[in-house]
Amino acid sequence: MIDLSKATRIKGVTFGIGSQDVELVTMALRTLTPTHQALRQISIHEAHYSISIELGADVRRVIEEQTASLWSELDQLLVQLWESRSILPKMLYNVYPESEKAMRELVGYRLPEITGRGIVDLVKI
Amino acid sequence: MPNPSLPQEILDSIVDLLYDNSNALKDCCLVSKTWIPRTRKHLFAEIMFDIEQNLISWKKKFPDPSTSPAHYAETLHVCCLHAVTPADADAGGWIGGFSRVVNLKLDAYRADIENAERFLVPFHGISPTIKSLYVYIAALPSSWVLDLILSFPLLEDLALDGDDLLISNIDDPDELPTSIQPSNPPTFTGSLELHLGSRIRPIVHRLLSIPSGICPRNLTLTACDEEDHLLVAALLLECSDTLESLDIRYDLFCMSVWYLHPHQ
Repeated sequence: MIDLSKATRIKGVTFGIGSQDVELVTMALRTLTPTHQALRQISIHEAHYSISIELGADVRRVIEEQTASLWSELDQLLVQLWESRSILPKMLYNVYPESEKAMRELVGYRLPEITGRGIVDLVKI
Repeated sequence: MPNPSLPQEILDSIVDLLYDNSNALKDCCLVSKTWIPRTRKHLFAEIMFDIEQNLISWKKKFPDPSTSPAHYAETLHVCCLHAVTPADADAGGWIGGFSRVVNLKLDAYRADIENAERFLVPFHGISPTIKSLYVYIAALPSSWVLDLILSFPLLEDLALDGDDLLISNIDDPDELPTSIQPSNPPTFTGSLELHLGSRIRPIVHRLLSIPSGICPRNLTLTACDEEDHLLVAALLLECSDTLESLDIRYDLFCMSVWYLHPHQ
């Protein structure tokens, strides 16, 4: 488990994960406390975005079903971090231009609250 | 032709403006002998020996290490480690000419390990000013790399890379007998960038046991398997007082292999 509770000087944190690892991000972010005053940036790069989009709708649907509840927890936590600390999360991605629309839809499906409220930055890397 | 009406500081400033234009710098070298030191400072700021032929060519052009432009180099990047050790022995400490290097990059690919002696020994403490070290460790025993790291007391940034999947059957026990017992080990106050895995894990364990501790501001970790999770936790705990930036990645390909074959 990634325990950030004692790293109170931390300004930025970036996670590069697979879709099954989203729970690790949620658990890590839950260790943040009000003493983490310097934290300004949370970035998440889910590499399976690219893979699942390139593999097509069927594979994507299976992955989405398996991990939907985990992403929902992260969605709620990111909303809380925005409301309590104004931290705008960044979702990093790297897909072909023709897959960008599908990628945005996938982010919207997984993280509906932050996407719907416009409190997420999608950043191509 | 020297221009007596312009002080050397002004001439140096003019040359400095051309730092990234190698053709112009080479032309400057032909203007006057007084221009040569400043132009060499930029021309030889970054030296890369990517293949053995480059190293042989350098030694032919600059046979005397004491007069070679090696001491202008701030960044030294060596890929052909197997060629450095004999070259260093032939020339009586040839690599020691790079005495002002600040950034050292060493790539050790699989081919380098064949009949290897201690490739890294010539690099031990070559420059007292080294602040940044990158090692692609794949073909090197961890203990050699640890000895190298500990030979630079002022090291601020350390990057260790190496793909477990490219390595096979190299004996390297977790117990690392090191020949260097530094009284003043580096504390890594800048960045630590570690691609964890079986080769780099023992080095990190040893670094964590340094009594004075390590205190990087930036930590970039790539975890390869479940064992790395524990090491990540230990590193975070060790660095928590100084940590400002954390970048943690899970090597998806390695992790997939682990999920499929957890006992390999």
